[in-house]
Amino acid sequence: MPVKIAVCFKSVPEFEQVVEADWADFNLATDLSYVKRVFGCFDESALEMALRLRSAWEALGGSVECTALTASPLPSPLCKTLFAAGFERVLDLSGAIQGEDPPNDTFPENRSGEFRPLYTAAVLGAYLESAGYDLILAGRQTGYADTGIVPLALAEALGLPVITQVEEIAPCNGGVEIQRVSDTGRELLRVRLPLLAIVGNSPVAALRAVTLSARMAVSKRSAERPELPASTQSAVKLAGLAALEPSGRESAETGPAGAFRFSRETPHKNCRFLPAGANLAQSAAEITAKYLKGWNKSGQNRDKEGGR
Amino acid sequence: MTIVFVPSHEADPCISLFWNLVTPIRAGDDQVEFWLPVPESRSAVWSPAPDRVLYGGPAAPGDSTGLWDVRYTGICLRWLESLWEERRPGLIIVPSTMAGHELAVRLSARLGCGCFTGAGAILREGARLFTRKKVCSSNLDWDAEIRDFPAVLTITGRQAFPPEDCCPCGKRKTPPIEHRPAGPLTLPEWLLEYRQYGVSPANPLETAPLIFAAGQGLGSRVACDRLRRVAERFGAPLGFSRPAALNGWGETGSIIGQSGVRTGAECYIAVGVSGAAAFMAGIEPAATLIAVNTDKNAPIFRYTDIGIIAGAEEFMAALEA
Repeated sequence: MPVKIAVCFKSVPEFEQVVEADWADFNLATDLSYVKRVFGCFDESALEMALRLRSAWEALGGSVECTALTASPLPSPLCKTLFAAGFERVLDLSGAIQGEDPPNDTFPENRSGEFRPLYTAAVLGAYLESAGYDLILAGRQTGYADTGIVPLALAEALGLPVITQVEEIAPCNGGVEIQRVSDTGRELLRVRLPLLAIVGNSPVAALRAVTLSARMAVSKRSAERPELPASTQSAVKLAGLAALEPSGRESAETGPAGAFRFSRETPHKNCRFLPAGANLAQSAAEITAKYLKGWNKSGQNRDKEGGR
Repeated sequence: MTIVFVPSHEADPCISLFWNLVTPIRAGDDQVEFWLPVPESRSAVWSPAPDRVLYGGPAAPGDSTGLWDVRYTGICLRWLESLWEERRPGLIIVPSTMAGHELAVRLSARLGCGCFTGAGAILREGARLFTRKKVCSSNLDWDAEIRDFPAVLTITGRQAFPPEDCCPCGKRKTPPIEHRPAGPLTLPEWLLEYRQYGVSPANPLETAPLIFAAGQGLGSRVACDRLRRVAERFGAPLGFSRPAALNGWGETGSIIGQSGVRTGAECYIAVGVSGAAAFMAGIEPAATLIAVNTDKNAPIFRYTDIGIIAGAEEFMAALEA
């Protein structure tokens, strides 16, 4: 029986490409379709980690099946990248987020599930509960909201052991060996499967580059959209919790701002540019004298007036 | 309402952050309790003092971590659940550390209540409470209303100075202390082996008054190492933008920004940093920011006090002179 690995990932807009006018007026219905979507950075680590783990397991004589699944919008280029990188299956559950019956008074324009981590986890859990994966990987957090809630809520709903802040993962006797970061240092754990591993900052930072020929070989493939069970234990539990999430709907009860609002600070510094080129040495000397010298151990700059 | 804070230990620097965030929104009859998942040290001084302190533990022999440890997360969660059953707080607040975040989300799932993570502020508007956090790679602030209680929050922010005279009951050094032992420490059956290594000292980026920051514009690890030597000459640590660190040019623990360290320096020298909002989320807005970049249109110049349009190597050579 092959070891079954699933990677939960999310695609997000490249936020640095969003124009200022859209930030100024942002709401859940703001159209960001002009912005390229990329893998969440921690999810990308998890995706690559799964493929490396498969290679390591196969080198030991095992067989592994890697599946990537998402409840977020999945642009075709990203889907093809996953197939070309080596995932056997790619599952698109975003239709369950967008479709018929949200569990409660979801803001009608919020069809992407953004800012609804428990709802997202409910959809993922509805599929994963009966799918029988040995190892589930996920990135620790992803914009828009960067709540970091989905994988942990998923682990609780599925009743799986969970290890966070994973840096590296390798097969070992009895399960997997995990190197993780903690608040106080690094730890090495050997754990049994099944398991949900949440990937944090890792040296495995990016999904492998795929060749044009690899892309062309998978050009006809597309993501599966599996039917989700009408109700599963995990989904029901998470949907109940999802009812507690801010919905974003304006109402007489919550007032004109609703329970959900966005704002943006605009920077207001006027940068003074110092000369460069032939005068760079003079500029560096000014900076050194005024800002770099004189910091003592207690954090006071004796050269500055009014240092704290 | 009872507001609970779960620090990792008695000297947790997040305790002052908690008081700074909670004191302005605390209603007159709100009680504050600290639930510490460690044994009592007998030397703790609480100022300001909460209304009650509950200790857990016991720690394993020779281990001062208590329950704030990956091996004992399940025990810690059951301990917190049992306290919740007994005390029924309206808010449980946890530091947004790696361990704290995990405890908070998993606890909220077990309690069946809402969870709000990464709150940089808690706002009160009349009877309504909101959390505020940075979202969309720190391009926006998101206010989310806490409409149902209990709720679990994680809080984040720069290390704050202890507030003065903020406790309505005055400064007390000895709040009522209770002990609620968590029971024997047993390892979970799925954990076959555990080893800790590479114990990290405190991150200098969290407390340094002067910080140098390296971005992708440095171009290479060699250049970053050179900037590190320059920074050391001035007694400053070197932080990294996320792209620069993930190129292997620096430790991931040195990432400044939304997914890294939120610094509180008074002065920054950012070299080759573009100034993406996710990086700027880790920079103290009130600080002096000096940026060096070859691109005069780089976003970072919107946030800087002093700018220099120059290459990293020539700037470092000028500083070394």
